[in-house]
Amino acid sequence: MKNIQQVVKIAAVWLLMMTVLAGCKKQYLTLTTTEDVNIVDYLRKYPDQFSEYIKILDRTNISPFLNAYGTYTAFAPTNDAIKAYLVEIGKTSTDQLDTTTLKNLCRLHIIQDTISTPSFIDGKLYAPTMYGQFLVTGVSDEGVIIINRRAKVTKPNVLTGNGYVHVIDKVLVPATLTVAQLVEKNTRYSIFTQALKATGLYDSLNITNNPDTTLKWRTLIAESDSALNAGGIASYAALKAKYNNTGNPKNLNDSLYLYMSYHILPGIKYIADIVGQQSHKTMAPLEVVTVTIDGQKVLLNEAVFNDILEKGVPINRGLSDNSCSNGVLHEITGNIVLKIRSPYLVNFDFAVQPEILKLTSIYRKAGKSQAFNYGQLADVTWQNTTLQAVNYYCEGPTGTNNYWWDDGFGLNLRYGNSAANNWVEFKTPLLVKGKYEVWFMYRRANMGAYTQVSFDGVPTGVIVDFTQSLPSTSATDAALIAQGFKRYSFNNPNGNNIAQKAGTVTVTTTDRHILRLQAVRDNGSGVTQSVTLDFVQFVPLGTDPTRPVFARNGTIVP
Amino acid sequence: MRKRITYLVSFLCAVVLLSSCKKYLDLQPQDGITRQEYWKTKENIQAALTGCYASLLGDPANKDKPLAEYLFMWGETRADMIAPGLGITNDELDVMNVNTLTTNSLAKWTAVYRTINYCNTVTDFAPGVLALDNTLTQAQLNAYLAEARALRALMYFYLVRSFRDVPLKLTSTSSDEDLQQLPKTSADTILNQIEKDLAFADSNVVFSHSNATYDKGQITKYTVKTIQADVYLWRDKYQLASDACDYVINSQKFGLIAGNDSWFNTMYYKGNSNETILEFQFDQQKLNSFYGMFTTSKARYYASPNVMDNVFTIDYINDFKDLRGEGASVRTNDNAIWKYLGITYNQIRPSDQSYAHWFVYRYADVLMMKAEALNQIGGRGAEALALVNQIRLRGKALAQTNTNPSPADQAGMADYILQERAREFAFEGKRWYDVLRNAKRNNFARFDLLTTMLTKSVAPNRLQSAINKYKDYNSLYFPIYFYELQVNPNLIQNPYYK
Repeated sequence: MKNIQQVVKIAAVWLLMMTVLAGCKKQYLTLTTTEDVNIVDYLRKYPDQFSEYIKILDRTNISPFLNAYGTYTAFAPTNDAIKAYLVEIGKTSTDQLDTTTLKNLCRLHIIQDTISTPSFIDGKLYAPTMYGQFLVTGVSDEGVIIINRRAKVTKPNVLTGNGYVHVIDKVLVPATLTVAQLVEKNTRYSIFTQALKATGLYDSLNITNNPDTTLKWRTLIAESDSALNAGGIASYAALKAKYNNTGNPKNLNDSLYLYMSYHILPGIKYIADIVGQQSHKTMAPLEVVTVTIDGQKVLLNEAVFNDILEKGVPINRGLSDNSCSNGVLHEITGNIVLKIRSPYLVNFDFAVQPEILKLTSIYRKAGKSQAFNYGQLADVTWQNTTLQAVNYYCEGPTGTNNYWWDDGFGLNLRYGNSAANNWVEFKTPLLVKGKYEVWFMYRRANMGAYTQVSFDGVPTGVIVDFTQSLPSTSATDAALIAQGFKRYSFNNPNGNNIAQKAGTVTVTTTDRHILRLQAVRDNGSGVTQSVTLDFVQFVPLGTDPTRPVFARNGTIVP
Repeated sequence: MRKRITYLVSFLCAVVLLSSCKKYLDLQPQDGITRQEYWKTKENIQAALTGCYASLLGDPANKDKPLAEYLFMWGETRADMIAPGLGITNDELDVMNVNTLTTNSLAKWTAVYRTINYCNTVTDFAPGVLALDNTLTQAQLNAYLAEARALRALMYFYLVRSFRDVPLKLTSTSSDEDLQQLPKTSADTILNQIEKDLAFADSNVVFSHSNATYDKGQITKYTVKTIQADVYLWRDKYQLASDACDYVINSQKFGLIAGNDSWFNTMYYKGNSNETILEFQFDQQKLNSFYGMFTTSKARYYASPNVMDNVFTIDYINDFKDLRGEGASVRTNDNAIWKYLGITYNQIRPSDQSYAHWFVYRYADVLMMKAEALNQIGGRGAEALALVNQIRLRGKALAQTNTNPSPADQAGMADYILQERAREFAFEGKRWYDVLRNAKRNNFARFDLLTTMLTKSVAPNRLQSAINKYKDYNSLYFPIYFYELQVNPNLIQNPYYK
């Protein structure tokens, strides 16, 4: 019995030991979700290339967060790059630089977003660096991607766990000069610099990190001395003599002041940003520069005014896109000047959209029509994007309507019906600043009895009724004008094609503007019927709106 | 009793054992035919060749895009005649904006190598049939081999123009032992091999397959001559190119389809016309992939506005029209690529009839290639001009597209021919290769052709980058797809994409 007990005891001890010992086994559990390394760990893997950069990242305490989860794009200079940079600034080791300098340097190399090379454009990256300045990308003549016109990307798009690494062969250096300092430094711009100083604009371009963030960035389009010379201005004195009309160039109403401020755009706009929009505001109040692209050339202020083509002035791409601490400096090859223009009559035919012009089998071909999907017309947008809310049509010479050029534009416009479309917006042609009466030429139909017209988002105050016919066929023009109507058809003045006034608008900038038609009350017609418009007139205030009249064959009869 | 039991047992054993000679013990596959069993008669060779041609229409396993789609993308996405639609993929946009990375799926070359492998299978195993089939003559065998080798040459010609240096594989991959990790071969060596294959084909291939439809979809003597002309033109061997064209022209087997009302229907809707030299013959059983690419709400490609504005141009005054523009290449209502969609100028194919053929070569191409060659030879500009004008006359080209070059003005003539090619072969997958061939001539003397093309196709805020990327000529060729590099360590990436 005792024997058995002993055996049991020994067995129990053995069992216990086995359990305990077995329990001491290490369990290998995967605690990470991925084996991808993050940016700093990736750099640590190649000390032969990045040991110097790692050293800086560690010293400035940037490596912990750059190795944490997040979205980053890091430009990693190689050891050779850092050595070359040290030689450039006359140092032998990064230890000789203080932490703040190094920190700023590192921050210029990091963007808090994941940006791979297909997103690089001919200009600044869409997100700023952590230092606050933007990086400029481009491609060198050898076909290599370059950053800030300085560093070549030797190994792009290394995807790590928390973003992209782009290896570069030179250290990126923050721009230290302001726009004002950079333009002053360059002897090409001596006349321009003098004028900037005389007008006091120099100082406004010389502020970095303006506490008012709306004024933080500036874009200067400088004219070189030679460009000014070619424009007949030999010296600053000549420039002053030509424009300075009040005697004080610092006067905000002085023409020289306006001339100079017309060359400054608010915000930071590299060429790639400039080509992205058709016009840009300048620091001259309510004045814009317009942009046209001709092949590789970027032209400023090319426009047709009153049927006369004014040639644009090309930007000098090679000498533009110069980053500054508070903006960017461009050069233009000629003179851009503010012009005094007086408003003139604009007949904006809705159908003359560039996309419709190209439909040669449709455009002004009798009996043809074409409805458009949202997005097909660049300058026309509408609320219900699932609908083909606009329709171009052209009537034959035997049609009973009297459209100018026999073509009209149908809009689906209805309030309070989700299947219909509530509003349509058109981008107008270039309008010179001033005051205009807005007249809608339309073919009376069942829809659009309550249409509010807005210009640049401001309602004109008149609700237009596109179902209205002429109040009286026998009334005089003057009597009709008084009621907000007029005749415009040459072929049948008292027919269904008439004009209605949609109020007066103030065009504040010489630019293209937004005209919006919005239904504000339901007049209970079907979803598919449409408001039938011919064109819209911007009549400068003080001119007679009754003339000219418009014929079906396109003739304008004075 | 015991004896009976013994008999019974042995009988049962016999039943069990003998019945076990079942086929499942046989190692030969039941549902297919092995190579050893297959290559026995000349009909087998013929069937295998048909397989080569069938592979042009699409991946037999249906996992890859059809070859014609790749050829369209390779020939058009980098050129200036297409615009992206709503369904465009990021990969395609990247190629358009000159941002091709090694991960870009347009750089997959499998569709081409698939056909090459089928051709290699024929060239490897067809000769063995000679000993087994007494009805097969050496001449007939050579004719079969000629077709396979010519088709292989055509495929390598696409590769060499798109990727430049690629692996050259001239034997089939029929078993695991055949798997090879080949390094790249230089473009020149490959082009030499192409010429060699074509020379063999030239002297052995049949003049006709005795069936009008087969003659348009399979290789004949005239197809070989046409491919030769194209290869010679690419290699700047102008006299040879012109001679090859002359052979096709003098055969009088082909002609231009008259530019009348039924022109579009005859040539593009029905296909196999008298003008065709080689087509990929899609049909009701094997549709092409163009319907989804060009016309649905997710269409990937539209004609660029540049096509009507500058290529065909619009006559606003007299309303004259280029036969090949509106209603043939482009439906101007929405800029749809009409060549592969239309039945007539305004009637669209239903989706289940999307079998417009893919045009590899047309007689018009032979005439235009000859014109280009003659112009480069020099002193024969007048003949070249006459050929171009023959094409223009049939196509009713508009007067404003006539630049009236002097026949002696070689550069002006080259431009004129290139412009006419854009009109004649719009969306036929030739534009990029045409521009590249002209640009690279005389060590990229006409690099400006590429930059001009970029101004029309690349977004303005990427234009300068794109132009500078092209200045590294390596960027004019696709990268090797990253997957190929992973599975084949012997491949070396195009230096531009490293």
